[in-house]
Amino acid sequence: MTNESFENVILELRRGVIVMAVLSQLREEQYGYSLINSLKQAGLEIDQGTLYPLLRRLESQGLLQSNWRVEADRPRRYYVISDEGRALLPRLKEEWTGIVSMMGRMLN
Amino acid sequence: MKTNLIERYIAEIGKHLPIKDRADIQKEIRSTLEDMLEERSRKVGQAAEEEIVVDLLKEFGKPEDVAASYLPERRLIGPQLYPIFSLVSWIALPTLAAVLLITLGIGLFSADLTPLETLKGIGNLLLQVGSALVSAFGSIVLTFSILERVFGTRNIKVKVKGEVLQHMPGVMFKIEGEEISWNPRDLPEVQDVEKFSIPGLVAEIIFTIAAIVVFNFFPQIIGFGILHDSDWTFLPLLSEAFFRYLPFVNALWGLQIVLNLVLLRQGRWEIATRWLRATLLVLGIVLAAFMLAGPDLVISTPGTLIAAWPNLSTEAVRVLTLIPRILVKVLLGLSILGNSAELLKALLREVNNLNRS
Repeated sequence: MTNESFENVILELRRGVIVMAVLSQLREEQYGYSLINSLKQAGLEIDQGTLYPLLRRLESQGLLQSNWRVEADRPRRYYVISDEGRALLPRLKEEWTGIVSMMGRMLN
Repeated sequence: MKTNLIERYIAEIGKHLPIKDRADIQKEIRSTLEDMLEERSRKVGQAAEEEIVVDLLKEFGKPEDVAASYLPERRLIGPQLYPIFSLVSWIALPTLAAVLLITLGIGLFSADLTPLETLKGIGNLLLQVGSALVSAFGSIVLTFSILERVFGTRNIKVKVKGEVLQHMPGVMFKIEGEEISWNPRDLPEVQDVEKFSIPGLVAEIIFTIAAIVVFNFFPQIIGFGILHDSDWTFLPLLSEAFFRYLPFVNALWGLQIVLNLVLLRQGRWEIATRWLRATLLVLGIVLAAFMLAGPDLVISTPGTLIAAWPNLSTEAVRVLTLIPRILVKVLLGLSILGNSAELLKALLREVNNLNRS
């Protein structure tokens, strides 16, 4: 496998977990840029061009809620997981654990 | 200067976004850029210089790519061609509908038909127009989906984790050695944005079409109706002089509809639409002035009134002769004043924009 193909596979793997990562970080409300930073601190670097459209999509799917607030003369949009998203997260976690354990068996 | 660059960048992104979400997305991008800028200034320990802003914007991505990332994937017609597709549809379909309704409508109403036959005729007319519109829309979609396949948006590049990626439907592929080469300093200046109300434009289109239909096909309903001995007698008001002006009025109204449709589609004023608006305002003033100074536009003279209602009192004849004339003159006068004020405002805005750039 070439280095390029390897990077593409890694990228695809990461893309698959972004939704779950974002939902998990939004159990406490955050604005977009602080979310980018908290994901980065947790080890997942995500570009704003990917994150913001994703946040809008998750909101339109009812998994997130948002509201604009003005802080220090600057309007910021705060996102937080919705009741629907909160109910979905344990199921996603269960699915994820299943995938990890399945892949563990397959790879060993 | 740095704020100006950010505003130019955000304005440019807005040009590629659908009007519905434009303001909200722009607000969020502005807020994020300010956060990022603040953090970078803190890191270098100085206020954000233009150079920092330029680097930040370059990293954020080309305006059209940033906008494209907000648009849904897997489109029959992608974000690059969508604005043109939408503009063509917005102009072609209403124009086709108007032309068919007018040409078929003239044939229908000029024929000597019973009420039932007229009703059937109207049903057939609507079916014909509907089918023509569906067929025309299908052709436009087909043409643009072919154009999309040939010149489409499969090569949009986005950045993930600082790497340039090619954005394919559903998948992203990295392109080796590609670099982002665009200069935020080349962004066009932000113009003084003139707001307009979408419901206002739609209402204006509807009322203008209604006016075209009434003045062209049912002018006889503009007049007086008087109940006398349980019988209604109706006297149409518009004179022959008015009908000599009607083609010019129609042309202005038609162009006004086109202007409103283009504004609805583009969601902002462009150079072409501003010129068209100014031209329409000037022509409107000239036409209203001619109509005001020319022969009477109404035919309610004492002679015609008494011929229609022989028992009308002298006082009633005087009032009915005078009121329509005064009303027409007041309306034309108000139209001249309103158009002049709007023209002046538009000119001042242009001067401001010229000074700014």
